Amino acid sequence: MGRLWRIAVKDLRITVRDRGALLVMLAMPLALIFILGSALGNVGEGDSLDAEVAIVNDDAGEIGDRFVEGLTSAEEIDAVFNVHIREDSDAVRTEVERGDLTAALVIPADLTEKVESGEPVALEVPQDPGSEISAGVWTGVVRAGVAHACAQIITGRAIAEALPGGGLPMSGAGMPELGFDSVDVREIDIEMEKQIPMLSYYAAAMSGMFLLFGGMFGAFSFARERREQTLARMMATPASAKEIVGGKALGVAVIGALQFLVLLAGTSLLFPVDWGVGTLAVVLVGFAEVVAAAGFAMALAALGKTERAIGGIAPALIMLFSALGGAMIPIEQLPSWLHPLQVVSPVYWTIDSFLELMRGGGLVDVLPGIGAVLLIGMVLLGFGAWRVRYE
Amino acid sequence: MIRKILSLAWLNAIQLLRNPAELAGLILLPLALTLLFGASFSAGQVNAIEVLFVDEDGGRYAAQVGELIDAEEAFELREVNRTEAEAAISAGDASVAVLLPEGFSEGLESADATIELVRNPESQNAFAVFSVVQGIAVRLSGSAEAARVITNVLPSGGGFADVYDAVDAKWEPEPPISAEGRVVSASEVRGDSVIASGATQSSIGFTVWFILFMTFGSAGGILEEREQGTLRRLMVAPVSRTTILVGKVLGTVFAATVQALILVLVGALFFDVPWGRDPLGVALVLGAYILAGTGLAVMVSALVRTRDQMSGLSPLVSTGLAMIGGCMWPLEIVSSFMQTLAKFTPTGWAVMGLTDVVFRNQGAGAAVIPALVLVGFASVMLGIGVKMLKFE
Repeated sequence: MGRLWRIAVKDLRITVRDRGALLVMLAMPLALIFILGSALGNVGEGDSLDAEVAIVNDDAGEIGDRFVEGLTSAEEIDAVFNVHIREDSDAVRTEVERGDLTAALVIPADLTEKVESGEPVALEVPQDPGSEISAGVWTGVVRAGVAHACAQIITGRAIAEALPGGGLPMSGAGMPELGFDSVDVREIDIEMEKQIPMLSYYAAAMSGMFLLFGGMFGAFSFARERREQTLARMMATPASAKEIVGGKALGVAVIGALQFLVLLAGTSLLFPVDWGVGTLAVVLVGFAEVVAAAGFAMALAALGKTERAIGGIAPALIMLFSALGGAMIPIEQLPSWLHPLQVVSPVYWTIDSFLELMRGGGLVDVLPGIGAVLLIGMVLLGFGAWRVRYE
Repeated sequence: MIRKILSLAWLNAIQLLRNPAELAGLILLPLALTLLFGASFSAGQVNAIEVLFVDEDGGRYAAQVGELIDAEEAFELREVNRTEAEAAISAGDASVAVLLPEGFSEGLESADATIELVRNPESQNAFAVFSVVQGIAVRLSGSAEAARVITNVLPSGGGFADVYDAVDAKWEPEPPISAEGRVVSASEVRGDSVIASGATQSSIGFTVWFILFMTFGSAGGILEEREQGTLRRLMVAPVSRTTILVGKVLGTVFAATVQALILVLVGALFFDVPWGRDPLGVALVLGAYILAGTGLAVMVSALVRTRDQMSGLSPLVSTGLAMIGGCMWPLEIVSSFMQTLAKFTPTGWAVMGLTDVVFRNQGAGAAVIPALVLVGFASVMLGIGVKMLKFE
């Protein structure tokens, strides 16, 4: 154990001497969370969408006007969309195609005419493929307006057919004044177990991912010592191969642990990331991932002979682990046949445990996750110790 | 000179081919990533939104609400009870449930019915379901209103249910007015789309992000050669500094291009990521972006003193630029300041260019400006890198 620790301390000393590298490594995750916070800080707090949409009303009759009025007078719509009234439908379509407008509504010239003659008619809602979220919301808004208009028309027709000259009160457009509120839609926001804001989700995801980069760093250091023959010299000492691999891995883990602590303190103090009540549990999950990163470092050192080779393999492997683990795409979106594969990704277990703690879970809830990450770390370390070459 | 540059680049390729682990990293890992992303993206496009349906009423009008929701292509209805629905939503397993409380059908006759929409307040899907359910509520209200008016005036004209059915039948096969949501891109229109998936765009984002990792990994090799002293040895040979650097840069560009090709080709051939809309445009943007990524990596290699500093910086720079440039989430959701900031990053221009070419189908013409900007980035960064890079 003494030798193991001495090797780790030696590695740490080398790292501390390179102040530039140390600074980058400790500050790196924080800088990223800072970018994250600036980018996503206001997302989810009220209406972050502010989309440009246009309405072209070619209709000669009154129904078109009523659509325009309905869509421009509602405050809820105004809060999310800047609605422009335009004349030229072709120009608007081109603007949507180019992405200058998020979406539009084109009301055809014969809308009122067709409605009056009983022919079905379609409104066109062009959407920009590059802004799917806001364009989808706009389509929903238009559809709600269309449903209302249809109900008015159908009801009016049905009554007029059943009661010709029934003497019902008529509105300006020749439609009977009727209520459409027999069915009320009541929205009930469910109390989520605990909703995780986007910023916190990404803080968990990026932590899970970035600690693995510490592993890449450790593998580089191993490859360098191998190239410079200092590793071979170490082999000549009474230290066993196991102790050398263990000591190097321990060095990686200690740096990773420091990184994680900086990250945890930084995100909690500087940004409103709520890691949950069980700080001890959060630290344990982070440390387990750090152990996995140390194992990953040795596995990388075994897989890649040179630093360049490691530089080629490591980022791709980390991205693969992260993508599988839900750091990039929400896990629900992954196809179900991939779910069994997730168990091999330490990032998956780490993110899952962090999220569990953020939702209010405790240490007991994340013990299986911690166990899984440690197991993966041990398997990687074992593979590294078995396959790694020292010269 | 060209021959020397090419042989230096070829040297890079040989070093790569000789090392099976590196070669595997170069080919197999992008393949695995494409498989993963491709599978998730194509799955994301066909997956319907699951809507939980709770019918506590059991009456005919409640059933009609269920049928109408089910008829929406974008939704998939699953019948559950209230407790199950609430549990599933609060656990985050579902985003929305439509609940028809007891007495709904009776309430409709007396103009006092309620549909409860239980939702996760932050879900995007819940909004889509809400607008559809609102539309259904208006339809039922209208038919019920007509039925009430008619049965009041003409008590002999049939019961509420009969008149309601007669009125409601006018919605089929087509309602008088419909709204066709069309995702438009030049010269083609893709189907009817109600729901934003947000996923297709990510395939572009991850490719852009991944390429940056690759150029960093590969350009970092320059530092290794410097530490090994092979760069210095090359200087002894009758080749100029510039020739050596151009050779090294070409080697990096080559490796990154192979990987980008794998990502794009496999994505396009097997997973319907619409890369193939305009191969020239895609090639222009991606080619210029690979140059810019290489320039960035060479510049960072020149600015740092040691390999360790480089390995600390590269994930920071690549992931940071990926976030700002819109690789991880669509830029439409971030503040206008962040949208402007994206225009100062190579990742931002690559995403904008590829979005115009691949999704908006604006043709190779739309690729020109992003490609020029990216080449600009590349020359500035390569210039700084080449000037500052020390050979020993």
